[in-house]
Amino acid sequence: MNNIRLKSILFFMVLFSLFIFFRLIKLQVGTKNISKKIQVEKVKAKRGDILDSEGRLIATSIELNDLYFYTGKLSNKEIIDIEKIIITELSRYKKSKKTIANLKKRMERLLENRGAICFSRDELGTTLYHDIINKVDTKLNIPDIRGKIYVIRHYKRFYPFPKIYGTVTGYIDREGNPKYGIESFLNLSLKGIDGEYIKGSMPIIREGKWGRSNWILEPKNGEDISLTIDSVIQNFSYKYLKKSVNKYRAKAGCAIIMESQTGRIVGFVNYPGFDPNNYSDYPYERFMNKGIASLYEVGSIIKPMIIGYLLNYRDKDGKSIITQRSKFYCENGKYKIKTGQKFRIIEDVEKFKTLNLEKILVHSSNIGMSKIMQVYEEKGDKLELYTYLIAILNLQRGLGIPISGYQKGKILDYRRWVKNYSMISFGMGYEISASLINFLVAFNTIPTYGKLIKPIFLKKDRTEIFDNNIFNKKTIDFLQTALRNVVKEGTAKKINSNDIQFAGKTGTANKYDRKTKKYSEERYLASFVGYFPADDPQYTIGVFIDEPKYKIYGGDVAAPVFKDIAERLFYYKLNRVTFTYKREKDE
Amino acid sequence: MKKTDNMRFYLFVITLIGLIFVFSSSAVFSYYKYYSKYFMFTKQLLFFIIGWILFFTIVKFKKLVSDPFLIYLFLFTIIFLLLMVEFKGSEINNATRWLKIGPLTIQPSEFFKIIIPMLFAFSLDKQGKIIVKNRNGLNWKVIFNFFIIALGTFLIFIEPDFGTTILILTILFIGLFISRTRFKYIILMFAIIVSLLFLATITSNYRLNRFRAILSPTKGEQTIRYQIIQSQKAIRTGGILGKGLGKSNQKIFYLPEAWSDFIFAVISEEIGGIGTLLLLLLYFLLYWNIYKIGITCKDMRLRYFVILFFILCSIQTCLNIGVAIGALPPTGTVLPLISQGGSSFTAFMIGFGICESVRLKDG
Repeated sequence: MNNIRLKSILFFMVLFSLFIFFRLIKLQVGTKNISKKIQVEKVKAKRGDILDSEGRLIATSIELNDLYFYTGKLSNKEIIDIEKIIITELSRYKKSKKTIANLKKRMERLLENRGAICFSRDELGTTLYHDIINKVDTKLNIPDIRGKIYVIRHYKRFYPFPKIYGTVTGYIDREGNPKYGIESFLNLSLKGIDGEYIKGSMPIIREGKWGRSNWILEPKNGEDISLTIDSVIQNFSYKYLKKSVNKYRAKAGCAIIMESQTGRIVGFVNYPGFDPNNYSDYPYERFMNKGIASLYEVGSIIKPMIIGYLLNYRDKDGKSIITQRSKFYCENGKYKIKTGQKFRIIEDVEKFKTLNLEKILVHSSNIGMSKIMQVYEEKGDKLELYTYLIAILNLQRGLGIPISGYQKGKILDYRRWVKNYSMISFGMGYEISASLINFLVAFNTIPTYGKLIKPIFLKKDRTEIFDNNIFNKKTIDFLQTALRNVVKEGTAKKINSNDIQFAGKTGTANKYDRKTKKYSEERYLASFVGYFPADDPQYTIGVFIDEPKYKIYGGDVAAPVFKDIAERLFYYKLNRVTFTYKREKDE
Repeated sequence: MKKTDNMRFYLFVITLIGLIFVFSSSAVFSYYKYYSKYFMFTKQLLFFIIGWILFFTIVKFKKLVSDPFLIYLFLFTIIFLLLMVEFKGSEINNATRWLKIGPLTIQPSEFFKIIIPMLFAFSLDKQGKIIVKNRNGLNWKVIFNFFIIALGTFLIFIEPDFGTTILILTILFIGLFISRTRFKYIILMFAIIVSLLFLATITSNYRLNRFRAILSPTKGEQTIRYQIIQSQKAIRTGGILGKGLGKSNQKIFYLPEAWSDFIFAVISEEIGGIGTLLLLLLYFLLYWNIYKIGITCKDMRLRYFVILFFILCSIQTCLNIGVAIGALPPTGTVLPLISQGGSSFTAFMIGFGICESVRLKDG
């Protein structure tokens, strides 16, 4: 081994490593300005579709390709070749001479100016456009086609049923961000994973698929989502709701249709809705889904739930406070209650002397409810009522609704309840606010024999029961008879029908006015919550109409919408029942 | 000999650091590609264990080192694998360097690097000279050895793998240089090899296209510049103190091959200048130990092997770091003992195992 030679090699190696070492230190200690010449560009992944229960498209992404020729990198001969292809294709499709001349002019200008040219699908028409892409791709032998000819693919969100689904789906704004609704809430699964490539190495599309390229990450399509909502039901519900809202010049309306025994939401409409395809034409308030995102005090429709609770209630000695036969004096329609220093006057629409429990429900007597609540305040337990209301109206748990904007309801803490005031208000459906779907879910305990069922929006979800025994069998029987009588002879007798047995409860609530800090005498929320067929409940429907004019009562404004929807739904879904029923009638 | 006792310790620390950073740099990518953040890490852990087993086997059976049969067996396996790569290899990034055997992907060129010092050592006579022509005529053994080297290098060259080819040729010429070969032979050989490689490139259209694809300015320049800029960005943002272990930003898809070619950038970003200084110190101590083993070894052949292996390791380390900091054009060489890649790791562990057994034999 030659020592001098070895040492000289070592010497050079040390020099080399020192050079590397100092460059490294210079980089680590040196200034932090970072070159921005090279950038990463993104390719959007295809967003998943939203489908209804029958697989109809509710929201989909349409693929749009733009064909680019970057002439700066193409030779003159290649440009002329491309021009030939385009012109032969154009004449094959018998385009007008004007168009051909126009395009020819553009191509000629390109030869001089050397810029990028883009042909969009709108310009050429779909078939022709695809043919040109394929021909250019297959016929021309241009080495290293990447960077010279490329297709930019982008997606446009399209909603085939614009208005009826607007508040359910939400929309995608111009920047591609999801806003409101399912689009926003389930964005993570819908959006997929965007692809990334190094700027300047544009991925090309061959035969409709992404070609090989300098992908840092290849785009991955989003998942499709199937809803439980049926477009047919959604469509006619929207129609009937619209009719009523327009007729009474109401501010807004909302209808929710639910399968009683499974909790599947088959229809969820808001009127006025908006068109997600042209969302910018609509004011901001339209985007909100009133059924889940706004809190309301709904009034009388809470009464059956409260009475059911009181019938189930046993005090410390195991005695019940009220029974089904209890009777209350209804003060001839006007009742004064002393709360602290002030007097509160409670009025009924119709004047009654003495009513039993069932009649109080059937005629929706506020005075009767006040008397009952006064009895409870005397003998019952505050905390228990508080926990019951929280449980049945889901005030503390999320419902897992995949539409963004869901709000939990509110109730005053039981330690701050005002004597002779708060409980009476609860009995009439005030001082407790929740989103409309919560009231529907709470009401649904009656047709399901005491089961508190979670509402389901997604097809893949399974029925989930929060609580199995809200009421006992006896109470349910009583409530079901009472609610049937509401339609037969009570506040909703207008919708009584011989063909289908409806049952339900009307509600008319004064809206709270924040300016005057009082309950308004002019603005109401009219509602009807019901189920049918009464003897074998299949569907529970809630209709809420905000600030109707001319007529204000739930029985007049909301109940007809319920009837329209229910009748149509009956013949659409339960038609097998119909035939047997009609045959019986004929005989 | 006392100074060289710490070699195993340094080796172990460096390999452990490698394991940690392979996990740190590949976790996110593994999760996206293979849906498990441990995918690449487990693979590397497997090779970590295999490497150390090989190391101790070689140390335990010292005779293996000087057994020509075993060495030639190893050699022919690698040549065979290189031939397989040429005909059946899998293509990644426009180059065919990898061979898929079941679940494993092998890169035979990594093993071939270790063979160069071996073959070179075997070609020497007892005084440490290469003699092609002696009294009995031509020395066929030497000619055969050099033929094998030429064949292997050619096969690696047409993969194409410029980095490894240049590295191998550098080692070869340094070997010739320090073994008192005459300058005129060295120059002659250099001329022959360069012209052969040039001919091989231009005669085949297919090969020419492959080289063009790598050298093509429209595509290649952008990619290479992108990699280097991202790497420099990582080292800059790391600064002196670093961002903290596992907190590198660049490894999340910005820096391609963050776990192999550019792992040094991730290390620098996460543990900063101080950390890298310590790592380089460890490398220096390890290589210095090998050098000591080399120059104190009495057996001339083993001595050449150890010295050439030392030169191979140190040049490859410098090359990798030089690429990461943007001082050298990308060569595709990995950081010895640290980068992800089973072939490279096991090959180096074999080399270090031989060095260690040489040390124990002499001591």
